[in-house]
Amino acid sequence: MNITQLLGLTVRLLVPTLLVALGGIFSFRIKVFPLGLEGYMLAGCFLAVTGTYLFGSPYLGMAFAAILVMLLALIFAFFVIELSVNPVICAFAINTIVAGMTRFLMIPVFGSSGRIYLDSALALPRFQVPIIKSIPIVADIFNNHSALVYVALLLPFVIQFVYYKTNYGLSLRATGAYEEAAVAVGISTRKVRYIALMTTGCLAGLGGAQLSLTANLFNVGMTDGRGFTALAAIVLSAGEPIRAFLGCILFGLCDALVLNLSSEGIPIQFLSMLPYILAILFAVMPPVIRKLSERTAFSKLQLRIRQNDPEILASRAFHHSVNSEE
Amino acid sequence: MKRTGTVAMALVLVCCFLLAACAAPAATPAPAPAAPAAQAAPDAPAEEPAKVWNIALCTIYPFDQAVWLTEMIEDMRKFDDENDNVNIKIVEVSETSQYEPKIRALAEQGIYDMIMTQFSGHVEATLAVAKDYPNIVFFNQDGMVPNIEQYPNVTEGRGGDRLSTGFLTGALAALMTKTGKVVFMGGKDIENVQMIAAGWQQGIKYVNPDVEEKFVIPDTFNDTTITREMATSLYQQGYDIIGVSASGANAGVVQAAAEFKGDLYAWVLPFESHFHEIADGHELASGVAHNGVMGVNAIKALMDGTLQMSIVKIYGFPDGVNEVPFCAGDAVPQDVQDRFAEILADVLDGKITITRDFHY
Repeated sequence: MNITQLLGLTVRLLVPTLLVALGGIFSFRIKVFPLGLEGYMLAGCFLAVTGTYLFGSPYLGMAFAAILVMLLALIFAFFVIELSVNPVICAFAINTIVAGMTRFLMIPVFGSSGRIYLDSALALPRFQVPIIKSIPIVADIFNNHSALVYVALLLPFVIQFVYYKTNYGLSLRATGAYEEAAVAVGISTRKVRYIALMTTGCLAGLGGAQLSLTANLFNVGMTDGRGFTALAAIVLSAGEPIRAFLGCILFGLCDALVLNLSSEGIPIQFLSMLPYILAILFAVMPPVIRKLSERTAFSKLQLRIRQNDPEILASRAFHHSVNSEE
Repeated sequence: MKRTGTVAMALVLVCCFLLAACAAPAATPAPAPAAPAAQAAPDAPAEEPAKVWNIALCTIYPFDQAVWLTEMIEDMRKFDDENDNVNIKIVEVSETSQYEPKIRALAEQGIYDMIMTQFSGHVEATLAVAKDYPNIVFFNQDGMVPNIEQYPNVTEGRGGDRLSTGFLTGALAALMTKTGKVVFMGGKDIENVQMIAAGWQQGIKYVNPDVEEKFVIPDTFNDTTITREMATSLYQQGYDIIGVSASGANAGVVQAAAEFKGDLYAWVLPFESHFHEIADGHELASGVAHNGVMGVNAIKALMDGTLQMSIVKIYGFPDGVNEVPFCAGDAVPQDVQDRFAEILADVLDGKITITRDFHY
């Protein structure tokens, strides 16, 4: 197995999921569980191909997908915010409706069913990045990708900045943490929630666009559960952009490993478990490490007590005197 | 608020009932018009109305999920349009919990002469319903029905001679490879895919035992991104021909072949369908299986009373279900084409025995 190729493959595989996960974080942060990501992504796949087919440009196709999926998210937001519809039910409805609509619209839009192939002239252009292309190993991993790949790789850091260094980020976190308090200090939580839910749609639409325009086709059900993988990354990262990025790298690496190892003769039945095993490890490791470090600290404290550490003795004496005064 | 919600739900339910009541009964055949009694001559024999054959095809996948299924449905609809005495109703029976209820509901209507089901997923439900409706013929496609001889109204058709198609395409791959390394990519590790792979492996050995071959599984029938990346990786490793049986995900491999920018040439041999439109001249040949032809042949056999029950029939090359057309223009040299024709003739004459022995 060639490690450089493996990492290059990881980058290509992780990007659609990453864009969707980053979008989902906005919803997650305002306590709206983004269960509709799969539907948004599938809509993005279909609309990107439709836009490219109609306007003759993959970039316009991408914009078409982002805008229309954002409008779809606006409808979702209206139901959730104004009509107080349960977001989980609404998300299920979106997933089901999108799955059906993409199948149904294939016939009137393209005159075919199941799948549509775009002309190779409409493929998403790939770029040779000036500095990167001359660095031996880095070039194999990061060079010759579409523009959206580079945008996606930078986006976690941009979103991290937005969350922690801007007014909107503060309002978003406040709305998610304690909405009543945010309202009390004058934050328009309604506006914040609308923007967050629409951003989710926009980024998920772009994730779908990346998936379909890289393949240059639309295939019914082509997201194949990637929206749910993004959801897993969001939950594992607790809505932190950089951690979600790491989660997506983990899933992308798993996919790349599965592809490479299955051609090495390792049974696919075993390999298909790999992403989930790693996901569980990813979820379990932080609390385990925390517990272990707590236990270590406690053992150290006990040891110091046994060794009559003067600092501990002084502290105990202080507490004793305070208690006896009371 | 609660009250308004209840009223709204009640209204929706009422609307649903009204819609259901207004809907025309599905697929009920128009009754044959009775001859007016006054016009009939007293001693002329009454003309029997032409028999209308009602067939139901239950698809195990959504209609547009697999290329072969889309093509099968097109073929069967065409046959329906061309024959006034045939009505074919196509029903999606793709949810596991719906298998038996939907098949039983069709049987209960009492109008169908034959109910066609698909693959092993439908087998149990098919057999359960067939037992209760002995006057209806049940045709299962590729389900590997166990003990089929015990079911007098059940028959199985294999949509294509997978072993022979695999063998022929494998032989062609061995004749055409320049690097001496070829791969078979099966969508999932299932028996139908293994049968093609078994033929492919034996075809390669038959032509040139020195060719290095590999079997890989991307574990998807839908995800073109995965098959495309896997194929690109295999081409980079020096495998120059990939045979792929991954249904809708075949397109990913075809695209990888068309876009591969390495030093060696990259060929693809997709099964089930053609992919000329995106192959950009890199599709060497296709192991095509016309499942619709099989369905139509089975209906014709039912109509003329030759459809045999309690057996498994393989619909292959002689039935027009299978073919292996060359696709890449003049890429296949004449001597290879001649050799291929010899092997094809030997396979069809039964001079070559192809077994189901398969290795990973």
